[in-house]
Amino acid sequence: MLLAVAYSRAARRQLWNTCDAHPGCVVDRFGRAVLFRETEFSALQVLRLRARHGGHVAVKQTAPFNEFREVPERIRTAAEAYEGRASRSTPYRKFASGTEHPDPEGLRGVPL
Amino acid sequence: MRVAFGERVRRGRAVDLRNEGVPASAVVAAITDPDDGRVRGQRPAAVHEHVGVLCEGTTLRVGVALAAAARSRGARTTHDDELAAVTRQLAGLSTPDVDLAAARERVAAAEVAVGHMRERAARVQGRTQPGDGEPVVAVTRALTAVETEWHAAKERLRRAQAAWADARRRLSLEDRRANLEQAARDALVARWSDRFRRAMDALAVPASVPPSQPPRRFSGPPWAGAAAIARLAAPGAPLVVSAAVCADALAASAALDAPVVVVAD
Repeated sequence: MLLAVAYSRAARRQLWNTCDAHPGCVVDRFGRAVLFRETEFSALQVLRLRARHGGHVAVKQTAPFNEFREVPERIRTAAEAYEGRASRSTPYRKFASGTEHPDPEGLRGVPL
Repeated sequence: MRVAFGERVRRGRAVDLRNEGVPASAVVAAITDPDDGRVRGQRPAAVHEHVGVLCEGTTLRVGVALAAAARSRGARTTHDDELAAVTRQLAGLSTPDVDLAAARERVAAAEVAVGHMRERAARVQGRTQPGDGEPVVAVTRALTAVETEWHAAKERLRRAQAAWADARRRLSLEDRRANLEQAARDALVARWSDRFRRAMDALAVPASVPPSQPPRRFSGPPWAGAAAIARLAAPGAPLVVSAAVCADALAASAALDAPVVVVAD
């Protein structure tokens, strides 16, 4: 999918106009950011935005996230366990220490 | 109204239950329960939820209660038509029961199975001796089966994502409705703030609303806000007043301009 983010008022207005004019190519709208279906037509629309607003429009190519494919099980388990913790104020590092859950420092910098 | 707590049946707009030993909570429960025959009279309006009980410790959110009071008097706002339209759209939307995570998990598992099976098929097909290891036909058939399951899982995920799009539409409509309700409340509060001040001034209690807009606070006992809003509302059903606030049922009914049941606590 193509994620377009508008960083100026004019770019935002044109982004919204594009969405209103072509709802069929919009997957989701989040304020100043819009997720477009990955088609040549969507590419034409986001490139028009770029041609007019230059650096005020950022475009990223994104893919749906499947945690069961991309993420090791120990991290999924840790996330579930931490969100189910008894005390809301416990930070993750403290929650994980002395358990089988991964240490947050050990995860930083490790590519998925 | 007709009130049948204890031995006697009492009628009229001002009922005194101080000697019956009934707590305010029991009386208000009887008032709001349509199947409870002990209190008979009009049905409570939505505002009754905010001002239905006046005890010494009664507090309320002035804005929300004042807007409900305005609604009980039939007040309308420019947001009402859109609010009704959004509510109608929401009623027409089904709530899809979508388990996207399970669908993603099945796709991932099927992919792993296909990967393993392709490796095995490549190994078996690479062997030249007939009768050595697994027959090629069996492996090819197994590979086809896991590939079929993989395609089916991908299709189920695609359908779940489409259903989730409907769920997202519901979420954004609910968000829109909450914003409209807030805007309508703000409009009603702005329009009814003077009436709130006058109602507060008319109460025989040392309480007042500072001249700020919109009125969210007031000076005086905490229950005075609920009393003032009860006075300008049309609560429908009787209000329950603690004797500590006002022991005189007739006076309370006159001050609040509503049917009143006075209780001891």
